[in-house]
Formats: sequence, C-alpha cells, structure tokens
Amino acid sequence: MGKAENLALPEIGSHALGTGKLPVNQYVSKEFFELEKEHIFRKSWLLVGRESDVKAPGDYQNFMVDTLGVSVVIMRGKDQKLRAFYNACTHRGSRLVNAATGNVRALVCNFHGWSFNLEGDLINVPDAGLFADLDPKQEHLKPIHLDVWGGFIFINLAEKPEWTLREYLKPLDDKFDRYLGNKDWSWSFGWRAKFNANWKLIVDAQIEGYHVDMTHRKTIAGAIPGSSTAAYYFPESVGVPCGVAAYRPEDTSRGMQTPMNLLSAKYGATSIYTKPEREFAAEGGEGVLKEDHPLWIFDNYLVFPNIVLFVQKGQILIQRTLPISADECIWEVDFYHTEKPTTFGHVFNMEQGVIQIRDVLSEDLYTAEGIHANFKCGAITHVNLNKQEVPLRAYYNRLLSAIEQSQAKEKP
Amino acid sequence: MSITTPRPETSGLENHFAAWGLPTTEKRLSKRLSSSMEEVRSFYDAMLPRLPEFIEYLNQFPLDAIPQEAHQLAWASLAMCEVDNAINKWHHITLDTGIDILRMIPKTNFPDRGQQ
Repeated sequence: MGKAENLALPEIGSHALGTGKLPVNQYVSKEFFELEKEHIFRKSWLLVGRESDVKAPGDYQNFMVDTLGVSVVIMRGKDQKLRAFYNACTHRGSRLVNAATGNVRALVCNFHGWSFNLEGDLINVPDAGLFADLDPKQEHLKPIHLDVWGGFIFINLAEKPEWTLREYLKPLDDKFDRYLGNKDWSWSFGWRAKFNANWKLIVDAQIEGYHVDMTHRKTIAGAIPGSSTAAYYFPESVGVPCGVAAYRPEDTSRGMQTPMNLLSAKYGATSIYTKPEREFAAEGGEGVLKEDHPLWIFDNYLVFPNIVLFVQKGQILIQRTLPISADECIWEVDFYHTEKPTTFGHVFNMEQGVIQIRDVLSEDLYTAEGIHANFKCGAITHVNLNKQEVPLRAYYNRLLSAIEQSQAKEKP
Repeated sequence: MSITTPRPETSGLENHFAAWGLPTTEKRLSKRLSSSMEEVRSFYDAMLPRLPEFIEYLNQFPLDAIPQEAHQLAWASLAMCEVDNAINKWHHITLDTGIDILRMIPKTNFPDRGQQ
C-alpha cells in the first residue's frame, strides 16, 4: 500500500533522444512497409497467444500474420510441450487447419489425407507406395521458433532468432514473467477493429501521455492528468524501447466522478479511472507494481514492434496492432483479471469499467485515420515531438535500427 | 450468504425495465444509440435514486441464484452504466470525439480474430 508522504512523480519525459522533427515517410511508404515485413515482422518476437488457451494435448491456435500471408499453428503436444509450425502440409502445401482454435488428435490434411502427429511428424500417407522415394522423416511440418514468457506465447519467424525471448524483453525480467504468468489471470473482455491507417499510428496513440487532457476531455480528463503520465525509454533494450506510467492526481477532486462511477467503486476496482473502495486482488507483483506510490495506477510497455502491454494490480491488458498493408491494420485489445465476479455488485462494477474503457479507447483510436490521410496526401511531411513524447522517438529509432541491423546481417 | 433484503418496490418503473432491461452490453448499447436524449434522461432520472438499493438487493445472491423475476431489474441497472457518459459528460447520445463505437467488435476470447 502507498505511503502518503511519497507523492513525487517521475520526470515527465526527456529530450535525451533529440528535439528535431521526425519524418513521416515510414507510415505511408510502400517500400518502407516491405522493409518492415522482411526485417521486422519476420525477425521480431511476436506475441500471438496465451498459454492457458492451448492447455491440453491437441489444443491448437491458428495465428495469422496477415501481411506476410503466414498462418501459424500453435500446438500443445502429447509431451505437453508447445510447438509452432507453418500451417502447411508438406505434400503440396495445403493449409491443415482453418479454424482459429480447436482440438485435434492429429493434423490431417483435407487435400489427400497426409497426417501429422501433435509434434509435427508425418505419421500417415495414404497409398504411400505410390511415391517413388518418400522419406517421412524429411516431411516434418516446418517448425517456427516459439517461447513463453509471462504466460504469453511468442513466435519468431526467423530461421535463427537474433535474441532469445528473454534477451529481447529486457528490461522486463523474471519478476514480470512471474507476475504476468500467474495462473490466476483469466481473460475478461476485449474488442477488435479494422483501421485504414498505418499500424504504427495506433501504437503511437498508446505510448505518450501528452494527449490525455485533450483527447480524453469528454471521458477521463483530470482523473489521469496528462502531467501525471511520465514517459520511459530504455536505450539498452532490443524489444522494449519505451513505455508510459499513469498516476492519479494528488488532488482527488480532479476529474469528473459521476454518480455511477462512485456507486460502482463500492463493489470492485475494474474501472482504472476511479479510486476504488476495494483494491484489485493479485498475488505477487514485487518489483513490477509500484505499490509504494499511493497514486500509481499502471505502467505500460511497448513490446516491439506491435504490442502495448499495460501492467497494474489485478488487471493486465494487451493492445495488439497487426498490419494488413501499409494503409490498413487490425487492432485488438484484451483484458485479464485475477478475479471473476461472484456477486452482482462486482458485475455492476465491471460493466461500468468495461464501458468507461471502451469509450476511452474509442477516443484513442479516433485520430489515426485522419493522420494517415494527412501523411499520405503530403499535407504533413514531418511531426513535432516534445519530451513527454520521447517514447515515439524511441519507437522510431528502434524501427530504423532493427531494419538496419537485419539488413547488415544479410549482406554477404 | 443470507438473503435479508426484500425485493425493492419498483412500481412505476415497469416501462423503463421493459425498454432497458436487455440481457447483453451490446443490446443495451444499441438501445442507447437508438434512443433520444429525452428517453435516456427519463430512464436515468427514474433509476438513479433507486439504484443503490437495487444493487444491494441483487448483491445478496450468488450470481447464478439471482431470481428469474429480478433479471430485468439487474439488466436495467447495468444499462445505467451504458447511459452514464451520455448523461453526465456528453449531454448527447454519442461521443463525437471517438470512433463509431460499433466499429469495436466484441471479442469472445484472446485468440478470436473474427473471420480468418
């Protein structure tokens, strides 16, 4: 619990990454997008699922990296191990599964009936004698690197990933792994939407606090003042370039608390914008949660390239943005809680929280398409960033350095 | 958990319950979007003073044991969350500084990405 005497907030940001304008070509250029596909989406660790959704042997999840046309099967083996394969029969390339999730005893191709066990070995070929020199051992499903951290499944499409997942995620360390991997987290709710905007514009809107007072003036402005949203950047990190922290205002009368907010706060803590009378429950969190600060609400972290991970006590949320093309993307958000409602009061609290965050997110998502159009038509060629927006510089720098490093590796 | 609070008197609210006592968040959202500000205001004003006792009454049951005849009361109470911002912040049915809320498709679980 917080110590009331410790009200100092972190520095709001920094000019350490420079003060100049940034170009916007990387949001609209088709050539740049091709570089992102090859050097970012084929080389980075990508968060694709939650371990608890693929629990029993034969449980699978089919994840699409739309822009690469890559379909990945994430499969729990008989040995309980998680594996990832390309969703591609090694006979003539047909997709093996089409549903998003399911459970199978074996992966059987609908085209000619080649069968693969849960570990990806070819185990049956109808009329195998028709083939001249088929060696089933050579026809294993093509594997994809997979690792689990914090209960989340990550894949890496590189032949040989440049970093282990744990190296990639520093400064998020084992303490985060333990807290986020807690078995008590269960999925509560989420949304997805499609945008005619570059995928990074949706990410950008989540990694700075300068927008809060204006963008959210019709919802939460004041409850989290822009001046209480400090920027982080992590210059040494490969996969977590930056983040944002959010604190409540010292003056608790700031922000409009409606009668509904105040009533719902009696029964739970789901709405992050209302000081709850009950605390969120969650085990652990030492070294992750800033509970010694009485006003701290959450920290978020950009997990490069396309995830914003929000961490707080008793609630985590993941925003994922995947490109379809340079000009289109799919955004998703998913909420996890450690408690399931058992009473109507808690359901009521949750409903208030869900609707408040839904409306807040609708504001965050409001600007991307207009910005994209303005970049694309050439009305805007450069943008201005202040020190509170330093995470956008960190994101941009990482984008360029990741491409440059990958290109350098490929040079003979 | 002992059941000690009797069902609150709700006479006069029947029309509001019939209109707003809808079983899902999505249906309650549709109801708000298809209502006039006067209709929303009339519902909110009628429900607000009674809401604390409705919640206390409903809160005494285990969730799966809320009596059938109280479901509409429960759903109408949840509809108050749906109209809160329209009444208290926007003074308008919709938020004019956010995306069309119907573009946000509710997910059913983490892997749900709609049509693949």
